[in-house]
Amino acid sequence: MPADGRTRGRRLAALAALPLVAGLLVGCGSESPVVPTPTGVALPDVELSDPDRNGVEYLDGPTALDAVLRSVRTATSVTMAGTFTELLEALPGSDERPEGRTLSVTFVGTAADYSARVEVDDGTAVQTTDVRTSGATSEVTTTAASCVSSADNAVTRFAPLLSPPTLLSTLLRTGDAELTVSTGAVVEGAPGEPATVELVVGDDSSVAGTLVVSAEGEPRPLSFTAADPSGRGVFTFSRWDERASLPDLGC
Amino acid sequence: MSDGQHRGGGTEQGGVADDDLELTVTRGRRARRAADAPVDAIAPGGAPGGAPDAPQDAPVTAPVTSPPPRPAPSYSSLPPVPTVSSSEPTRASSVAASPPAAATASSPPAPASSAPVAPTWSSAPTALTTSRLGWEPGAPRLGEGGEAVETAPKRPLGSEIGVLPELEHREEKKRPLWRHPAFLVSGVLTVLAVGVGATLMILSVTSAGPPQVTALTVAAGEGNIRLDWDGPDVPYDLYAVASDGAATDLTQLVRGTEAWIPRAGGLVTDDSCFVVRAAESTAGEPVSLEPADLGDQSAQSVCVADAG
Repeated sequence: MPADGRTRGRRLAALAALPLVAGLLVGCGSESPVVPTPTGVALPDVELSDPDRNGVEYLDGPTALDAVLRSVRTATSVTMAGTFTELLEALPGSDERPEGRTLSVTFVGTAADYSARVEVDDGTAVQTTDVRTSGATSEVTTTAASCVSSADNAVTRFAPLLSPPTLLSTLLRTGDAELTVSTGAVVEGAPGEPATVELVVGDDSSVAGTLVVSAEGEPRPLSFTAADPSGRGVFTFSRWDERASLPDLGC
Repeated sequence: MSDGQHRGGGTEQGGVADDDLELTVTRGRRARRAADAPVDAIAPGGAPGGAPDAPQDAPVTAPVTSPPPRPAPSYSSLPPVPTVSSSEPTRASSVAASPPAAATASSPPAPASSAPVAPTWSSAPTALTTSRLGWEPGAPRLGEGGEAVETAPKRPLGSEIGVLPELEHREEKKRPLWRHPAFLVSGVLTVLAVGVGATLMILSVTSAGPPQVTALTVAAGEGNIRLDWDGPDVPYDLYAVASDGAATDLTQLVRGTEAWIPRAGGLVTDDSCFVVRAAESTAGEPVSLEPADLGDQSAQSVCVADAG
């Protein structure tokens, strides 16, 4: 009988050790962490056949917008032209809101080395300001050229017009939780022009703007049209990363 | 042992237990001779009443005074017994039981010379006179007063018939070596072992690990990265490994044996590397760019920087 008891005890011990061993084996098997799958992109839908296509159309809206802005920040040089038209209060008996002052801006260069011209048309006169900045020094020419620091009020008062990434971020109201972005289909460009994707930016009730992004290469914006009660703006971007020859500083 | 018992029984049984005496006597001719002797001795002694006394002492004296070796000659050499027994009864009785019978008084000096056998057989005569004596099967039986009584044949205690059958030694047949059981068993086992070994070898050759990924190439385009590799038509896993070692599962981008990885969305950077391996056989294994791990998983890796 003692032998029998011992056998039973041994059997019980073996029975108890079984799950332990199984757990060890399972633990060893599941040791490797699960490799995450990227989010924000419809990977199964990706069908590419052109080495240049960047697949921005497969990204969901916010991810696409982030990708565009990230791409813009990494860009070195750009040529931007845009206008912003102020909208005045509608006249009594009319739905149309008359246009007010118009601000147009052209920008060529990089963040630290650029040449920009800002024209403000208040309907009676046009005030033109040229800003040439290189490094920490800026030459502001309104009526006469004057050399100022790049951080001078004469320069910074035009912000964010003199910084395309900041301008885009501002206009796109990035960080706004209510902002919705939807990605459109790819539109084949004209010969020599890249295919484009339209990102429609808006909020719950209305469209705030439309951003046309290149579907080839870097997803750089090509144009942006925005409108809100305060006015409407149209900006075009071109010659991304193309080094432009800028005039020398006059001072 | 049996000797002592026999002897003791012969002497003591005199007038105590008839049954025992019968048992003793029936053992053989020797016993019968012993019974014969008393018959002769009874005539001279003639005192049946004295007999009971003698046996009482006999158990004490007989076994002690008669050492084992002495009775031996009297048993083994049967012929002389009758003479000895016929002449000695009186002497024996006097030695064994000196106090009682008057008949014994005449033979005190004798014991020293030829006493050894005497005690055994001397007591018997007196016992036989008072009790019945049995014979061998088929022999007449003595009743009271010495008359012969016809009795049923006594069955011997032992049986002459052998109960167990004799085992006959079977003759070993000389069989050839190849028909020997051990040879047959070893032969079968050998065939089995060779078969198993061959099966394993074939299996190891035919199923040589997970499908091997070969000729993994990368082409970096303006907007995406194209991976292309060779291998059997099985599902593959594709992982992007960033410069900090963090892996991303891009398996969903695999189309057959190629994958187009869009740059938009931050899936890859110029520092990224890729690991391609067969999905089923390497499921759950860690993603690594180590050559040893890649070899174990039959995987291959390539980096964006490798693009030509």
